[in-house]
Amino acid sequence: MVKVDADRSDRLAHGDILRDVEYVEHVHEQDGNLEISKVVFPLVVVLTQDCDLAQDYKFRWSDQATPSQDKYLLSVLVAPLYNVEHVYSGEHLSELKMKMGEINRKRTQGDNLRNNETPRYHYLDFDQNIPIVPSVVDFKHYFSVNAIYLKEVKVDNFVCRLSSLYREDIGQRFASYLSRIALPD
Amino acid sequence: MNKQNLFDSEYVGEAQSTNAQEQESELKKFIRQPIKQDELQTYGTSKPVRIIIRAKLIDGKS
Repeated sequence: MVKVDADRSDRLAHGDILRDVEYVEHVHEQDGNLEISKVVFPLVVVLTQDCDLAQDYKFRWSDQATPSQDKYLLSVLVAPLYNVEHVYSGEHLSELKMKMGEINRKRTQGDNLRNNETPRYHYLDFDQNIPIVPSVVDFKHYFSVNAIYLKEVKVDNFVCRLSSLYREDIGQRFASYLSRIALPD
Repeated sequence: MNKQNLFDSEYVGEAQSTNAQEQESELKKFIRQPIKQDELQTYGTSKPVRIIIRAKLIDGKS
């Protein structure tokens, strides 16, 4: 079970869990006809380094005069949380018409998922007072969101922040997942 | 030897029925039960959805 902080700070922070975050898939314009496709994720966790977020906030939002925009972030990395029950059945992206691999909860696959022994996934089981069902972060589905947009989202859509150690754990596992090296067969 | 009837309620006392409730009445009870606010606010029960916005630019390319 993970511990969380429910107090919302103004700035974006590593380990923040936010709801209803939009990911713009594409914007297409032709002959004056515009098409925008976006996916709304019910929950995401912020994975960008906290020092980068702190610097961005200081340079962008604080009244303190800064010599440049050197520390501005263009985007913030997040990864979606999926309901573990949907993940077991591979149906968590069914609304996007995508079928994912099934994970048998009663066998080794399921145990490995819940014990965070599968590099791709990070299992989060929350305390009763946090209104989030047991969830899985899929590191393969990370995406970036505009930093200003996400700060605005946080005002109304902040759920909680993973407590220290738990957020470092997810950050470390994400970094490890991204730094995998595929060796030839 | 006690000659009283073992199944006589005066002897064994009153007891609640151990019969299971009918499945139908259980279901009705569940359906009629109001949804708790906590359940309504439980996040993570929905799935990602795609939204497509189509529009025509009035003045052509902006």
